[in-house]
Formats: sequence, C-alpha cells, structure tokens
Amino acid sequence: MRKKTEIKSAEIKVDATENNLGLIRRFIGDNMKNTGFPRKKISALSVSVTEHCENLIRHAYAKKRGKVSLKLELKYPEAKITALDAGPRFNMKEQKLPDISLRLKNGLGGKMGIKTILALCDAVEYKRINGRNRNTFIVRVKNTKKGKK
Amino acid sequence: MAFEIRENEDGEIIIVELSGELDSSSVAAFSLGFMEITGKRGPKKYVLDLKDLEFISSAGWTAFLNEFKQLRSSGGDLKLAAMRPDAKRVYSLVGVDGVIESHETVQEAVKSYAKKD
Repeated sequence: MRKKTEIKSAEIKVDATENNLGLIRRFIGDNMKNTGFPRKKISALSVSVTEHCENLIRHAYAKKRGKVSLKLELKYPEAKITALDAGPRFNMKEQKLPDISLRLKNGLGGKMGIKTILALCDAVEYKRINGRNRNTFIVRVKNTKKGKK
Repeated sequence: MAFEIRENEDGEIIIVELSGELDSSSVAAFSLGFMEITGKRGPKKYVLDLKDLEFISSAGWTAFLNEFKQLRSSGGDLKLAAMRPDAKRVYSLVGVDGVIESHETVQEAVKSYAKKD
C-alpha cells in the first residue's frame, strides 16, 4: 500500500462516448487502489464521474461528439477529479433540482444524475475557463478520531 | 466487466440475474433482454438478482423504473434483491427506495411475494 502522505496524480483524455464509460471507471479504480481511500469514497467518485460523463454525452455533446479530460489528484485525505469538456457553459450547481419523487413513482427517471453527484461528493467546484467547463469532484476521508470530524 | 442478463425461476417467481456494469452503454442490453424474458413469461412476479451487478448508474435505475411501471400496469410486479452496498446507497439517495421494493437476498424477495398472496 502507498503511504497516505504521498501525492499521486494521473490523467486521461478520451472521447466522451458510452463505450468509454467503463474505461473511465477503470482509470479511477486502478489509480485509487491501495491508496488508503475507502471503497465508499472511490465509489462516490466513480459514480459521480460516470453520471457527469453520461450527462455530457446526452446533452453537451448530443449534436457533436467531443472529448473529456480527467485529472485525478490524490492527497490523502482528499481525492479529486477535475473534468474538462468543450460543451456549452453548464454549472450543475446552478440548476434547480426538481422534486423527482412523482417522476419516479410514474416510472420515469431523469434528473437523477446531478442529485447523485451533489449528494455523493463532499464538494463540487465549477469554473468556465477558455470556453471549457471545468468541474471538480472532491471526496474527503473524515478523521474519525474522537473530537475530530 | 461486460453486462449480462440471465433468467431463472423459483416456482411462480421469475429470477433475473444481472451481472457486470449497467450504465448508458449497456442499458439497451438490459431493456432488450428483460423485454425478451417478460415477452416469453408474461406479466408475472419478477426479482432482479443484483448480487453480481458491480455498477449501476442513473440510466440503469431509470430502466428498472420503466420495467417496474410496465409490469405493475399489466398485473405483474418487480422487486430488487441482493444489492451491493454502493448501489444501495444511491438507491436510497435518489429515491428509488420509495418506489421499488428491495430485499437483502433473493430468497427474502421471493418469500415477500408469498406473504402478499
């Protein structure tokens, strides 16, 4: 196992396509293996980035295929993935999330991705830089020692 | 891991085993496979065995909701079983738990149907 104090980073740039979703999860899983992060946090990033990329494919790149760059940075107890895309400006944190309970009861999905991301990540940051969206998904391992959180 | 769908049965209950990863790249395979099974078996009682389902995104949850709604409207039913902890967390978080019932094991899901009858 790597020392928790070590800093690790890794990058990948792929076409934002459904066929690459598994590859993206493998990139996260392989690079976070044996780094001291609990499975729950690795899963939170894996699910969040998958949801984000599914949204990119379905919406931002619906008319024209594009790429997504992912940079993973591990600095225990914090892990973050920064995703860059060239889609139209979109800040998920500015979206008003509807009450989807009625949709779910009617057998309809939709609007679940952003809700999932914002609930699973400890923080999500957004910036529009040089015509690109930069979303950063952050998870933190909380100190469980008495008196600290 | 590639997504797979297989069917089994326990008396009147149809067990559908899912394995691999269910996201927008594999959701069509789930829907087609499930449609084939329900087309053959009819609107009966189904249990989705998720023990070997390693990953599920909202595309997968949406597909489950669609199948649940269709089965319910035609007199059938659908329950989930043996969900992994990571999936269970999202299942509760997005509110699917308020719609589709889930059980710790396939046996419990099958038994729960018997209790209702």
